[in-house]
Amino acid sequence: MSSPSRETASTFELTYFDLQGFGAPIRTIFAINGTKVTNIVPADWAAEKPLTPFGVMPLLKETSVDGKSTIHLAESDAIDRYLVKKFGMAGDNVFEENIINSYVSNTNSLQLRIFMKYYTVRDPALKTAFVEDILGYIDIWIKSNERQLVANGSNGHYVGNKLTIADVKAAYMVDLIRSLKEDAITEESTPALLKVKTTVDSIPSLVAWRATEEHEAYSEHNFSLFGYK
Amino acid sequence: MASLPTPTQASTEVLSQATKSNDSTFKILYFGLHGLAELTRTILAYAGAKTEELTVDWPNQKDQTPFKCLPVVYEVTSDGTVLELAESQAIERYLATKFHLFGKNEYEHHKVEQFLTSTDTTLQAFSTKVIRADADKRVEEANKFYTEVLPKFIEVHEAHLKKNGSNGHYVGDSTTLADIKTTLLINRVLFLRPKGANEVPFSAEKTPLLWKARETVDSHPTLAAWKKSQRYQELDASTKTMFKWE
Repeated sequence: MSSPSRETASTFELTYFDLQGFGAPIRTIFAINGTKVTNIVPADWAAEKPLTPFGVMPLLKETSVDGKSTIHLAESDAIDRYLVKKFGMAGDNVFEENIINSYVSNTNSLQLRIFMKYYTVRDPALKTAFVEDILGYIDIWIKSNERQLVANGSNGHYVGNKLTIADVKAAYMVDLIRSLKEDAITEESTPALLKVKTTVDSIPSLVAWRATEEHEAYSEHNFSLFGYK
Repeated sequence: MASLPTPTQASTEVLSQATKSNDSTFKILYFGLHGLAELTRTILAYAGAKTEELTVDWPNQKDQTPFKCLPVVYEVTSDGTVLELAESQAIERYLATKFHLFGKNEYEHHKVEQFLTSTDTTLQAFSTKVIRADADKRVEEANKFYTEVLPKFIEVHEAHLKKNGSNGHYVGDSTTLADIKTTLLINRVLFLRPKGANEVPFSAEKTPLLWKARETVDSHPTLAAWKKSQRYQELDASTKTMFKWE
């Protein structure tokens, strides 16, 4: 492929476990764009592991329309970025890209903190203590993000007037925050963030993906292992 | 009170035009240690860019920053436009794009990203397990890190460097951010070896291609000059003091 990243008629195969985990953002990007991706769960991961670039999943294979060339992508964050650019969700100019990157980076930090200190922790006392601790960070996140969204015109987007990956990541964070404190995100207190969430959630192809049995199976498995969907 | 540059209010199209300026001055707002600004300062030094360190007055500046955390970098272009850059990884990507450190095409760009996040995982592990360990556990944690975390990184990355032709680069035949970030990892682990810990498993003999990548980056003239500067020595010293490192 001479410029593989710009081809959108390729076929895609995602190799990952049958749960949400690090596969979810990638599947969400495909769903939003209305592009099919075949999800492959390795039959024998232990055997395949040493043959992969970094010994970890997810992995993405892109095959050109004529079937003649394939490229192999690895590392979840790198795959996300590649797809986001390909599908025009990375901003329309260098500065929009930078703004998006900074909000995504900031959101990822908070997400990581929540996963590492809450969802992967078993001790209920530690979990409760953590929620107390994290509310301060959540408050700062809400303020920074509401501010940008209002500056951009409270139109449900972080930059311009179209969907970018910043919107998608923020919508996901809204769910995560609500799983810790239901009333942290409301029409009264955080209207701009709520609008981002409802805008993302109403994308028809995303709604369709989330209604599938496959998606439901990944969520259930995720929930049984980690306690969140 | 140390005041901050005022970001120019303009459309992102106008700001993106300004980002093309190649004689900007980069004003860095960060505490006086390496920390989260180390890679940013390294990229700027590598590119030979003009930089200035702003005085930190955190209680008074916090609310003026986009995320209430540091680093923040202000790019001031020759016509006076001020571009506010925040979040260390977003800053690094922005600078690497500007200074052509992401390879020659989109697929090389993706490959660079693969190595960046893979290296980042190891950097995060070092930070969490060793730098932030209690002082009396540091030697033990460092030794564990050398035997449990580094070997996988070394095996995987030596293989990739070999696959690219053992030329000292991860991708193609010129320096990318992947080379620079791995160099940072190696140097950080070597520099922050706790007194009494085992030898760090990075060396010319044990990890020849990683060592070559590091030497290629570190011998770049403007970067070498930065590392010899007084400011750099100060950052070294206060990095150790900050973490009460022996």
